[in-house]
Amino acid sequence: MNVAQLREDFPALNRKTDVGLPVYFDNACVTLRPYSVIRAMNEYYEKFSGCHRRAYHAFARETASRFERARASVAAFLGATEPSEIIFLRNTTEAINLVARSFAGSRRPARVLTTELEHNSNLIPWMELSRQGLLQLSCFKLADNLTFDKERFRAALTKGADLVSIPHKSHVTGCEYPVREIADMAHEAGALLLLDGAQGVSYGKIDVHALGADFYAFSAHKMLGPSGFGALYADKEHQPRLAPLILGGETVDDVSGGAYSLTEPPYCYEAGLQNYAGALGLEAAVDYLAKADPRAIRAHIASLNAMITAGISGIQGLSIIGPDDPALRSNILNFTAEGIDSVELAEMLDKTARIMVRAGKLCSHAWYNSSGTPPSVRLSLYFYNTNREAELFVKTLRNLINHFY
Amino acid sequence: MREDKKCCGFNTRNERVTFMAVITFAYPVFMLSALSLPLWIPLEWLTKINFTCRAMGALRAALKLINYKLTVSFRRTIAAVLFRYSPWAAGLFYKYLNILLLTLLWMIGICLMRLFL
Repeated sequence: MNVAQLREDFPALNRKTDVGLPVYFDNACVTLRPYSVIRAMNEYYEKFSGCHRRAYHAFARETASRFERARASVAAFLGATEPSEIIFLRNTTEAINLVARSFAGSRRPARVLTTELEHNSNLIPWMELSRQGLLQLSCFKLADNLTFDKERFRAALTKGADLVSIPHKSHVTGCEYPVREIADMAHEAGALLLLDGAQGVSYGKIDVHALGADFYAFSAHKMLGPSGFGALYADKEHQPRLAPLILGGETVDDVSGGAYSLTEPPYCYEAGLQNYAGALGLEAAVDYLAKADPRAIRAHIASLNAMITAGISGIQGLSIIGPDDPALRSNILNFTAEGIDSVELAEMLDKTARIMVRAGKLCSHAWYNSSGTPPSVRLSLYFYNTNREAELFVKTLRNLINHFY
Repeated sequence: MREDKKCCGFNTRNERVTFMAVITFAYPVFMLSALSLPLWIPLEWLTKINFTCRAMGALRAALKLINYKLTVSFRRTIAAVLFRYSPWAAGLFYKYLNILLLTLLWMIGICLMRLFL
């Protein structure tokens, strides 16, 4: 993989600042966008910015055809059987909310199982519905080093579950969960599997059938695509179980005498005028990632993580959240430094060397609060990061900790 | 103590550490702990009680309070510029600028008191 050449595709990486080129280590939050994605989005606004499925003029036809082409590209990227299994939404959060609302019911509240370490997006929707008595939420514990504990999961499953909702990969530790085994265990217990794929799509093509996912939610901005756009894969067998989250234009076929009939999926779940530029941007992102070699991306990121982990080991008071072995943490290095405010440290990394990292409770307040873990500093790497950047981070962090605190 | 919780747990400091508390409590504690350090060493040797460690703890806690809210943005900006040339000098500036400023304020205060009392 020629990282130097790939970096040329990303304008933000080549933007000189007062401290030199930016070092972007916040990819688990948002990845940077290549020229091809930006061009694809501009193309919609510059050339044919119409609407789809409601007009017959040339711009509308082109919009409709490109929108559906984007859906087909995403379906192929995820290994879906049909494009109609892809529901375009705003992001992972909205996708999880759509599934959550569909499983809520007062007659026999669905039993939902999640881990103790969830992003708020895969916790709050369930918590709220559980508070309203519309479903039963249970959280099971992970292993002590925050990897997935199959035995604890098996024990939790025996208490009964209708839906298991877990991340494909943790945004706090970087641990990839053994999804296929989890899916088999869930299905055996009669439960469906919803994967929070926000962190799982950034390396390239995945196969939802091989993973055993019944629902797969993800956001475009974690995989080079635009902000405010995402999708939910819903297996065609289980898609009818979903109830539209929002109703209005696009979601109905006919309205008469105070009643309405829903249009066919996936359109009944996509209310109002859609984010066409977003869909085109996501298609371009999918094309970009489809050309990359996922194994080469993984190997490059793993070597960077190993390099940084080795570089910071031995710094007094520093502790890594998750397993010590960088190979188990994929692209994430999340740490706390004793006696040092994480936000202050993140700001100093930015101000001194333009190293951009994330700090705080990473949208997982529940776990940070219950485990007593202080807010942390998280680095999340991507294929465009370099060895030089990793070395700069280690050097800057050591200097800051040695001289500033 | 209060914590301002921004989006997704991006915590910013918002504890109520007043300037009066810093100048009348934290600064004197820091100075007394720093100045008394040489006294603790023979005392520690005689009594086998770890006085130096305790004094250092008080010193660090006082320094933390002093640096908590005072001139934060200014120190970070200037320290970041200095960092490019000397991380050591940048750290020195970042950690001890407030001590210097508070010492000056105390000296001015003492001079004024002598002048008017």
